[in-house]
Amino acid sequence: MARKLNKNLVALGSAAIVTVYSIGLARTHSAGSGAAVAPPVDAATAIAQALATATPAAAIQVRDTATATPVLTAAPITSAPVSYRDGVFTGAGTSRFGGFEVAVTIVDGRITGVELTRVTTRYPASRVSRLPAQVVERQSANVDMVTGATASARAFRDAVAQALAQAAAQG
Amino acid sequence: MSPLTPPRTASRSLVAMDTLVTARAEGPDAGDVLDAALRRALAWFPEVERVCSRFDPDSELSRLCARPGETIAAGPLLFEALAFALDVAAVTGGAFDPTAGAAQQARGFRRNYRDGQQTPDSGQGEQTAARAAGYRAVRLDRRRRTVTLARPLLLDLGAVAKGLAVDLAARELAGMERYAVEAGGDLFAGAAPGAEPWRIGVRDPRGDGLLGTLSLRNLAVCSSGGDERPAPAATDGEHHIIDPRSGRSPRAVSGVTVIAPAAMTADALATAAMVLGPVRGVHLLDEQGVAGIVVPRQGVVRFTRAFPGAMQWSPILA
Repeated sequence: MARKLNKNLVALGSAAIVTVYSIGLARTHSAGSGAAVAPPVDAATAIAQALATATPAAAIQVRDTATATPVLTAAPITSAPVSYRDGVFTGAGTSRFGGFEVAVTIVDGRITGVELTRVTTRYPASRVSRLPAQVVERQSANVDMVTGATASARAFRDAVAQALAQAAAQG
Repeated sequence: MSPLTPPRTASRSLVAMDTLVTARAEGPDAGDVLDAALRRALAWFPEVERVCSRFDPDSELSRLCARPGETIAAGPLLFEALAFALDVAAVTGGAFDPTAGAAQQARGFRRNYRDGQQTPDSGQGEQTAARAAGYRAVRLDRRRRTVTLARPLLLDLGAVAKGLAVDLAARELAGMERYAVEAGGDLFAGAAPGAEPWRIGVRDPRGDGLLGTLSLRNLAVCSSGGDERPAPAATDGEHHIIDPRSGRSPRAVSGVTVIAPAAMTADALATAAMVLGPVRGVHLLDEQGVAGIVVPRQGVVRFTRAFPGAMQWSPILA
C-alpha cells in the first residue's frame, strides 16, 4: 500500500450511518404528518417521483415473492416520456441460476401492471435446488439467504426490459 | 410480543440502484406495523439513489461534479457517503477510489439502468481516465461540511451508496423479531436477542455451489466478485470492478465476502480486497478487524483472523 493510515473503517462507517439516519429521522418527524408511524416517503411514491424523467421500467413494486398468486404490481406511473403500445407483453430473463418470466400490461401507453409469471431463481429453494447434489444433501437447503444475488436481480430487470422493448418497438 | 399473537412474516421488494432490493421482517401481526416498517425501510433506496447516483444528472452528486473548483455545501447523505469513501481510499492507498467514475465511463458503464440513457462520454480514454482519478483532489471540510473538487472529476459512490441504503433500511426494521435487507450482493441480517439466527449461504464465486453457511445475527454480509457484470466495452474479461490505480480489472481474486457491522463498510472493504489481491486483501481485512473470505482465482481460499469469530461457520467440503 502506498500509504498507511490508521483509521478504523468499521467505526467510521457505523458513525456515518447513525448520522445520516438521525438526520433523516429528524426531518421525518418535523414534517409532521400526524401519523404515529409515518414513513418518510412511501416507496412507490418515491419511485414514481424519481421516474418523472425516466421510463417506467424501474417502477416495479414487487410484493411478497414468497406467495403464489400475482406477486407483482406496478407502482402507478404519472408521467412516462416513452409511449408504449397497449397490450400484455412478456419477457424472460436468464442467468446461470435460472430465470424469470414477466408479463407487463400497458394501458393507454402506460404500464399498469408487472406480473411475475414464472420464477426459477426464487432462492433459496430454487437456487439451492440447482446446486450440486452433495451441497443440498449436506445442509444448504436450510439457508435463509445466499450471498451475491446480483444475477437474479439482473435477470428480473432484463425480463422487464425485454417486455418493454416489444411494447415500444411495435408501438 | 404476546405468545397469543404469533409473529407474521412479510416482505417487499423494489428495483433500485440497478438491482432487486428486498426487505423482510418478522414482527407483530398488528395492523399495518410490519408493512409500514418495510415501506419505510425500502424508501431509503430511492432516497440514497436520488442523492448519490452518477447516472442521474440531477442527483446531488452529479451537480457537485458539474462544479469543479467551487466549494459546495453537501447534504448529510452525500457528505457522509463521500467522507467514508475517501476514508476507505486513504486507508487502501487508492485501491478503492470514488473518483474512478471517469474510468468506469470509459469502460462502457454509462447507461442509466432505468431509462437506458447513456451519460455523456468524458472524452477520456481508459488509461487517461485512470490517471485523472485521484481521491486526494476531493477536499472535504468536515466542520463546515463542504466539498471542493480541486479539478474536474467524476465521482462514483456505487460501492458505498448501496451498502449505506441497506444499513439505513435495516435500522428502520430494528426491533423486529427478525429482519433482513438484501440488495444485489449486500445484505444485513438482524435478529432480536434469543431469536433464531440467520443462516446465510456464502456462494463460491468459482461456480454455482456454496463455500459454506454462516449463522449470524445483526451483521452485514457483502460479496464482491467480478463475474456478474462484464464491462459493456470490454472484450477480455474486464468487469465492473476496477483497480483505480491502473484502470484495469483485478484478475487475481475471484470473489471476496466480508462480514461487518455495516453493509457500507463490508461492501467497500470487499471491493478494496478484490483490487488488492489475495494476500494484501486479507491483510487489509485483518488490519480492519473484520471477518472475510477471499477466494483467489487459483490457490486456496483464505480466511481472515477474525473469521468466523462469534458466528457459526459450516464449510461445505468439496
